[in-house]
Amino acid sequence: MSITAIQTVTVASGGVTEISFSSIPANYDQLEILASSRCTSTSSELVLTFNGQSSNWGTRHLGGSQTSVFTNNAYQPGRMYLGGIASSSYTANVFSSTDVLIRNYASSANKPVFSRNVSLNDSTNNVINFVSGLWSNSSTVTSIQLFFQAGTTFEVGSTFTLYGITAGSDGTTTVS
Amino acid sequence: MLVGNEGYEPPAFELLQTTELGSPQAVVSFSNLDTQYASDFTHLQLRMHSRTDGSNTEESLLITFNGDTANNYAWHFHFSNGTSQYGSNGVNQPGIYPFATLGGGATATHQAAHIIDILDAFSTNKFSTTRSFAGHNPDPHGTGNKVSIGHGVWKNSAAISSISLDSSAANWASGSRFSLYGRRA
Repeated sequence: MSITAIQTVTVASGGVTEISFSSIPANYDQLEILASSRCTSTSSELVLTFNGQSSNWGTRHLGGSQTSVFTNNAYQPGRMYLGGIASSSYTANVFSSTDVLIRNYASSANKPVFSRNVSLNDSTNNVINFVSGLWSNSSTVTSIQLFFQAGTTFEVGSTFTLYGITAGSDGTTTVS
Repeated sequence: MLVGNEGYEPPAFELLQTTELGSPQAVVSFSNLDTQYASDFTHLQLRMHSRTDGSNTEESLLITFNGDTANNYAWHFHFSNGTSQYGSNGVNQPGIYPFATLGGGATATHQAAHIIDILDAFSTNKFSTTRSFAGHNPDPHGTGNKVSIGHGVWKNSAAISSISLDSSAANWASGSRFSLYGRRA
């Protein structure tokens, strides 16, 4: 197994409403996104989709805030919910930490996706999100879009890196 | 690059340093990180198999950066023991608590596991943030097994030059291993 950085996006002055990775090569086994990001608004519910599509998503969410835990499956089917990230109400310089793992992206099988997203504001609004998603679509994933449910803007300095992960092969291990 | 050869692309995920203790030690540190790695790596990841020589089944630990042990940290985590879940957070703390390791009250051969990501570790515009995934099995019977996800913040935007892992009230036990990985972007 090896990991290769495919592309990094750093949000520049003025901010952007969408992070897009396009022309994704098909020669990896899995994809991973690492993000250190923040929203300029209090509406900071982050979502993801593939190939610009707005359908065929199913999402399961497990979250924790302070001492409480919550779960929610009632999201719009057009995108995968990743959870709320650090918003304009958070302490300055606090950015959320997110990773997203994408399987089967280059095959015709459905695409399972798993994400972990944490946002720590100090004494309040500390949030942990585990989200499992499935994109039921046979298309190869050639592009990925991340944006906020409310159409709000990513903070300057937010970074997103797309990695490609190859399948391991030691020549001796048998998988059956 | 020689004609006819493919260009070399370094791996995006690389082992930087490993410490495996041959004798008990109170603090394990990785230092000179910004000068050694900031030009090549963007993110850091700690992977730990550890226990302490404290007398309890579970023992505390703290992560600090750049030698700062003042109350400039906050943390929050949730864990499950298989039947219930719990959450806890701390503000104005002297370090980040990424969930417990094991102590002398646990079966001798057992160690706790932690994987801790530090994204944009060398940024001077962001507070340093950890995202941790941890678990431990104190005994062979499954009693006291726990899994946790947590996070922490150091309220300082300096680039990380050192990471210290303090076993708090005890020493890290022999055989504990601490590995630091770098991620290119």
